[in-house]
Amino acid sequence: MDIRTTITETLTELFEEDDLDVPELVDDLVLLDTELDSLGFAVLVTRLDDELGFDPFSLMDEPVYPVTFGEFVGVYVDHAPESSSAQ
Amino acid sequence: MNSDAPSTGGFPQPSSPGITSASGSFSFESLRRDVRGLRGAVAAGDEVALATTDAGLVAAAIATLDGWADTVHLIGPGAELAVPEIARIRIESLVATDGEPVADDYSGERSTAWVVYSSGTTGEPTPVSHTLSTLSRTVVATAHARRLRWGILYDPTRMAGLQVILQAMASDAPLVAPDFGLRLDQRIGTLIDHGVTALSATPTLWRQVLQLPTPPWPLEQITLGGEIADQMVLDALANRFPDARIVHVFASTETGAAFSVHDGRAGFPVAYLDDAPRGIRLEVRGDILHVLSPGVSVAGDDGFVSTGDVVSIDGDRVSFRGRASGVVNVGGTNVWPEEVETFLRSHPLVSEALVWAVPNALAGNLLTAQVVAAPTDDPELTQGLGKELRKWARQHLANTHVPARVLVVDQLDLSSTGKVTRS
Repeated sequence: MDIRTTITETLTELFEEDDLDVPELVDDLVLLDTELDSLGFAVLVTRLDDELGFDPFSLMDEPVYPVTFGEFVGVYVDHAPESSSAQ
Repeated sequence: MNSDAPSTGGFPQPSSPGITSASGSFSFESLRRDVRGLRGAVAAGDEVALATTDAGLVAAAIATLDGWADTVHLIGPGAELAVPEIARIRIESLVATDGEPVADDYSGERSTAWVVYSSGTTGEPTPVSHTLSTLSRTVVATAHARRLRWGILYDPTRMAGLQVILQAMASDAPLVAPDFGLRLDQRIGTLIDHGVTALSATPTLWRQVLQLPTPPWPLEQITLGGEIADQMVLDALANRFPDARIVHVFASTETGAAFSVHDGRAGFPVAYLDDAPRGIRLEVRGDILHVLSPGVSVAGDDGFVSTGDVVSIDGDRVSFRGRASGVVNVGGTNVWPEEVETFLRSHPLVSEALVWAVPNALAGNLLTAQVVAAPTDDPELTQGLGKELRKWARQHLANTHVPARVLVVDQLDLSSTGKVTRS
């Protein structure tokens, strides 16, 4: 499964778990316009660490705070270890 | 015990009063006469390390080496590396169970340091130096204790285990001591087989005891210590052992010892802040409970020692909220993992819970929970339990207290002190 699909599925699951409306997960979706709060994204990062085996936010040299869904996926793709990106 | 539990054959019959362990059954009076020959193995004024899981040997050391050795390091599993190189004279291998007394009459004028290693939050064992009198602060000889047959489940080299040993020695009460290295069910089996009627354990251990398929066990005295005793475990023990007097004890390595509560309610009466039992003096400073304990090496200038326990006052009760060092910051909010553990354990499908913080770049920390499902005839009930619990937590707790992950496991990891391990 590629990174984008994993993120989409994990995020959708999180919205459903919290009984929130699932937005259409397109690249220019502004993350904080969704009903998920900042702690929700922290939870997402934890879940993705379990799913993908890495946490880009703890790996990056300079902090990046993605604004849109597309940027969020980009952070993961950019920081993926070799083996993950080939999945 | 259940039929597939290994036999406890070979365990000596208890002598009464005295201590019975796999290394033999000895009256305390005979230990004081040094029948195990410790003063032959340790020169007067020596610094020694006692590395053992046998409470019988610890009792022998207390009976013979106080006032004889300069320093005794008490070493249980995991504390090995923290002991200074100079102290690594092992006495356990030198001690014969039928050793000859070499000095049954000594002045005892030397002030022996007893070094106890506490489990640091960083995992590194921390040495705390005591005297026998600071270790014995709340030990009171009672006729009541003498009528009971005590058991010990704790690591005998740690504070909680030492309290049990010292209490039995002071009261001249019988003590049954299965080796700490054995599995819990084996140790409980030995205690039941040998008619133990009084037992002290951590709330976590008591929850496990409650889950063991034990035969009827006429316990008369139940003591909880070492961790916060929540109302649920107090109530569960009262239901299972209706004839037992249930006491929860507050004692920590830092303070030497402190006080007990026996009204069946979690926390302690707010009146203790003005007038605590047995001349103990308590103060709440910045939400942290302090105990007057001037003889302890970590005491401040005024003799008060921080217990590291965060408390809150609700009406007539002082409640424990968690360890100060255990407080974690989740998204800017202080969270005590123990509070979330207590909450998770209140769910009917949960028997045990462990919550700890995992660093998170976006929130500082997030909580991860481990739970053990309660025994049920319907395994479908526990399917998807992790998700169900998280949803349930969201309905009742602030979002900072909701674990990011809830993992359902077969059993929690316990440290050598019988406490759950927050790693």
